[in-house]
Amino acid sequence: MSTNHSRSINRKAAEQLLDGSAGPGAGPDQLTRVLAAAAAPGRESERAGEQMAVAAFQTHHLAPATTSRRGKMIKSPLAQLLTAKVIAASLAALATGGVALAASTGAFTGSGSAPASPGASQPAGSAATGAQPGASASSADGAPADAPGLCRSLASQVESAGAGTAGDPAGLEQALASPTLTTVLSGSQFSSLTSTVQGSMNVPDYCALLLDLPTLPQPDGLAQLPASVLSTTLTQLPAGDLSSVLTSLPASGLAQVLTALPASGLSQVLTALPAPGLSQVLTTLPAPGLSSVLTSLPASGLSQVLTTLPASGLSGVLTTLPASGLSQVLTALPAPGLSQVLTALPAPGLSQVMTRLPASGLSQVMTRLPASGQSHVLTTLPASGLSHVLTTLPAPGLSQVLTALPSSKLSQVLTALPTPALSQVLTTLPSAALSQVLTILPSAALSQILAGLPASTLSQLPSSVLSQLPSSVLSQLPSSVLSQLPLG
Amino acid sequence: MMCRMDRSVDTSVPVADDDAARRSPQCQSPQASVPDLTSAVAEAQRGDPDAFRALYRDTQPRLLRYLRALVGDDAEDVASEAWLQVARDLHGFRGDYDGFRGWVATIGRHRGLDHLRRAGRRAPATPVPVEELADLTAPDDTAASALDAIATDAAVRLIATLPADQAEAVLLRVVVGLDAEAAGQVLGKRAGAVRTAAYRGLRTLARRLEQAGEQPQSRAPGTGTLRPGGRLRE
Repeated sequence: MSTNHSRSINRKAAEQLLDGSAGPGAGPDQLTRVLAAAAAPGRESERAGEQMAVAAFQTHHLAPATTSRRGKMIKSPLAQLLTAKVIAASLAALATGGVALAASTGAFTGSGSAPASPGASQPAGSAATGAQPGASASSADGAPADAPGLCRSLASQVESAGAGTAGDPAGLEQALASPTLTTVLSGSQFSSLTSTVQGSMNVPDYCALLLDLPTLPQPDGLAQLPASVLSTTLTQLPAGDLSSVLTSLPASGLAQVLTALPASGLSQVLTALPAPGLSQVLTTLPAPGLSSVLTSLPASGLSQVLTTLPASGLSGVLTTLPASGLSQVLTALPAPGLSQVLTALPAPGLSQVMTRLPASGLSQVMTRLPASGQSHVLTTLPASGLSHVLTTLPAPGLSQVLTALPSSKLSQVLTALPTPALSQVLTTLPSAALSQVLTILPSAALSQILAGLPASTLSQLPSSVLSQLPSSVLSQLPSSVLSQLPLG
Repeated sequence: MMCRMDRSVDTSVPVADDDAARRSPQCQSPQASVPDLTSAVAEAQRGDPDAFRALYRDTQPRLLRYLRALVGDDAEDVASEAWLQVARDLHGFRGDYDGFRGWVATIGRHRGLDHLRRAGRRAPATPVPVEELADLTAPDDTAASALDAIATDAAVRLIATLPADQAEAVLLRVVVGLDAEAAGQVLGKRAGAVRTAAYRGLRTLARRLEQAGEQPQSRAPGTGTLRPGGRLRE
């Protein structure tokens, strides 16, 4: 049977069999036949799912193949829904001629979403009044004179075709969602409606918008929208809808959506969210996405976002941020916001945040805090966090922070420090600051602190400082140290 | 003249010659002929259902055979799940038809692995008597056409009996029509690892077929055919 022995298959022959470049006799006949049989042309029985797959495709690709210009730009169903709404909003502005409406929808027309004025940042009116007659002919210019009336008429005809009652909003929605809608739409009186929104699939959303029916965009495909459309759309949504759209997105999609937004849009979206929604959104984001979102916010937006978060959410957000992002976020915060954020953090979160900051960031954060904030941070931190903060701060920052503390807080902070950290802090301080710190301390605390220090540390302290200590404190110093003092 | 496929890098060969070569009886290239549906990919992305249908019709049999090695009899269900995802995410895909098949295979593989996780097992490959593969008829045998379907199923099942990494490598290359790099991307491996796995797979197959061929045939000539369902008549 076999004309070639299997041992004769070398890698080269195998590669030829695998990539289809083998000539006759490259491999054993049987093997060649088995591979050829496996790769035989497809059979109809293997394509049993064809109709289902095509149907699934059509539900996701509503654009007719002929509208390729739009199809290239926007493909997701939501994108189409939004496009319909964009057009409808522009039309509404035109129909009423209202300045306020035109202003509120003006942002839409500048985006790639509105075919009437691609790439132009014109107000709604100019695009539709013939600035680009060719491009706008299919939408704004072709708008039916009484679109809302047509929509109502459409709904009532669907109703007479056997679906629901079209009188009230719920009935209208039901009629617009009815499968018989397509049949009714094929009537010639609705052709203007269909052509306005470029396809019958967009009519229900268009009508829903014109008739002021509540509809919510589907989160599917949100991230695929062009950033400009996404931004204008999200910022136009009422806060409640915005919150439910964003909180329904999976983490990766959410990160994609938020990082796609330009800084201003992002700020507007996040500050519009109510606290629970904001908290959920930010704590859902994976660390890199969170970092990218928060660091791209302008200072004011960042401050508002972080101070809106409830303590638990804030703690979750700040402890999730990678160290670099954390540093960038905290140093970008204006002083009052920074203080509010750090005082809102529970002790463990605060400790984690402060110990993860790199030295430069820590210094900047601590020295920018108002005295009350500094005091709160230092007295809230557990000993380990406190040690880290005070031993990490460079001398100038350390001086500023410690000399600004009121006497009781300073005492609390220094006595809470473990001896090695205390030694480091006292020997790091420049003599003027050290002198000030030691003079501020009540003498009982001073005695306790100095008595706890090893002689080696004491001997490093400047004698000029030590010599100014009250005699009650001096008397407790070891003689080895005392002997070095000018007092003798 | 080599029996090269459409995706041959040798673009200097006129298409007509290439077609002629592929049709020639001497050309028994095992790899599935891959039409160039790159324009269909672009048209489907613009929403053309006919283009999507063309993609399905060529890709689905390849996907189904590949998934047989992964999830056995559940391949149809897993392939359906995969196509739902393909239909949903097609607008985000970037690439030509080679890339598309790799992308679909990747989705199919992920859905297959999900399926196995849900089922809490690795699908046992349906055992296939090697002897029935030993006397697969030659493709140019006129009597063979009626048995083509069965022979294909039997061949895929035989390949599926290989260790999983070898079976996947062989099927992705021969049936799905991917090169080693693309198959590596589907499997999350380097091209070299895929080449090695596929090579080992072919060696094992050849050895098994050879052993089966050397065994004494108890059947009279003409009875070595496969009954519907691909089972060998005893």
